Amino acid sequence: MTETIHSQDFGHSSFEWRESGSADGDLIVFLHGYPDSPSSWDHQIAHFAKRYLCLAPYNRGVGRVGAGEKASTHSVDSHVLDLLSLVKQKDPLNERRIFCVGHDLGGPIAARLARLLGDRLGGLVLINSLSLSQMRGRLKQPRQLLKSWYIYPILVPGLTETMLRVTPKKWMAKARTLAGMPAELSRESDTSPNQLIEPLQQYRQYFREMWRTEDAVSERIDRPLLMLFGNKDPFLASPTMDEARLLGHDAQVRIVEGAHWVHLDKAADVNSFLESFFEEAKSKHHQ
Amino acid sequence: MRTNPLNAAELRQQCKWQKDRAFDLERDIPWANGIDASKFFLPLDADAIAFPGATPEQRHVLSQYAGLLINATIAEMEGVIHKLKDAAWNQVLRQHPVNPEMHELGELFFEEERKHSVAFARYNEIFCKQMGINPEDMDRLLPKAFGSFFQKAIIADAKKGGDAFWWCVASVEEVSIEIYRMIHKFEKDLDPLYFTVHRKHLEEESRHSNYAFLMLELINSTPRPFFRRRASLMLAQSLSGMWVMSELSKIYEVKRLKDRHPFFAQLATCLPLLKKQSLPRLMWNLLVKAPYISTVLNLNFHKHTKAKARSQKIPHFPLPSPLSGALNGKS
Repeated sequence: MTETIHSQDFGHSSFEWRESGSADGDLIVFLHGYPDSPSSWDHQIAHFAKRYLCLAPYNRGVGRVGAGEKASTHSVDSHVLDLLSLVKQKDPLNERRIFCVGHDLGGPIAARLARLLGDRLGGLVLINSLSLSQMRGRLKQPRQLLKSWYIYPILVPGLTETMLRVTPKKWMAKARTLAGMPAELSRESDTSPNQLIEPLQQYRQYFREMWRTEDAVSERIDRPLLMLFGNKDPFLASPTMDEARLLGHDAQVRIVEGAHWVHLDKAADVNSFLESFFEEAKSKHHQ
Repeated sequence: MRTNPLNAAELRQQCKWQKDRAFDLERDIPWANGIDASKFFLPLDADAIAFPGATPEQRHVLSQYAGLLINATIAEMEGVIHKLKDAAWNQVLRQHPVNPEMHELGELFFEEERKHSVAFARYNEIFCKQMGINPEDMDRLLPKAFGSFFQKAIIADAKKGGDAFWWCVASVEEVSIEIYRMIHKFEKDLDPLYFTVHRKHLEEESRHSNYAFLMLELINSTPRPFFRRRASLMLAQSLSGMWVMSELSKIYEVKRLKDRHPFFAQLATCLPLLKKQSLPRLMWNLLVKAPYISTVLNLNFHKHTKAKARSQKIPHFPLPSPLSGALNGKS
């Protein structure tokens, strides 16, 4: 299975994605978080590319082409518009089921995309990740507020950028130690500090958007939802069934032993859960 | 069996194991054989539980009464569990991060408890029918948990996020296993149907006994108010202790029933033996020495529950170490 990197301007900014897999299978859109890249999905793409067309877009500011530090470029909607164009290109006749899988900051994008796909959506998976309305709900949880300590300096414009520009390797090493970030993930970001700096705007933009999210109902999907979490995630508390059902009535919570990057640390387990979820979602889609 | 609540494969395996080995209430218990009323139901110690100096005839009726009492206690406790399913289980699973297998195992747990409750209640019904005792008369001597203060208090605690219910369940599971351990050496001396019901019960209890501990682990994995967390086991101990003592006192009702059946008449002759003991002495015996009753009341018998409390740093009322006398199943 060959994997190729594609680049195209869909009218908003240059957009890059990795593509691999079956040309006529259902689609899986893998959305990575911060400070990752599509390579964080290597284990999943290798597993699912035999039967699905796997698309793994670069998040804004990550990849070969920069997105600038203008906050609006990093909005959820801006990203989702590009994704809808990409999906349209791959499935012009709207015939294929689409599964959205998001990790970390890829979660809000995956949830918004899922909502806009309507009947084409096969299912939504959030791995150690939340939708914007769920994030807003977490603001009432002292435990989550403590776990989100690292976001507060990021929200101060310029502070984290300066730290990362001066000593990127030191800060990334620190982040790795604190968060249990797998070493294989950090290679790309170590070599290009810009890839760490530009996506910081996402945190600020999402924080603003979080307050504008009308309510949980507007984000709800009527297709199966899987929230898959590592129980030792230092940044996010595991969700409850009540919280998962805010996003979709047909929700399932799955907790595995692991930290924030369970799709890397426990790739075989995660692939197996995704596989079962996709098959179950497909059978529900047929009914 | 120690199960990891996050290990989906292990939980699925346990679920399959429980389903495959579950007993069938109609097929696996020989109800049609009836009860051999000439035999003991439970072996007794030298003091006949709390009736020192009992004659062989009195020991016989006391063994049968204690057997029915144990059956009724398990039937009531395991039956009342269903009333708490929503508040103590469903709500907890919805409000805690939990894997789907915990739901499946829980459904199975409640289903098995309901079956056990039916089995023990049926045994007592058969006894009454066979002996020609009016079941309503017998009910006046046996414990009732439905609608009791115990049930109401446990529901109220569960609704406020407490886990006293699961501490009670953990203890009941251990008591059931412990009682079987006490009687299994006397199989030949005891009523075969009584023994079979307890053996079948033990087999399923030992397979699902870890579920209460999984729930306790889950509830205590999230921060809770200090007092609610620390007081939960003591609350469970107080409520179950008060319930057991008040239900045991129903034996005095037998005075009013002694003319209704020879079983009650014989049992009524035992009351003076009970009254011969001073109240403090009697309470002490019930807590540390009386077989079955001390097993229920004394947390020192519930080794796994006590170990769980220790590991979660949850205090309990200190109780004296139990003294176990030799049991006899014949005379």
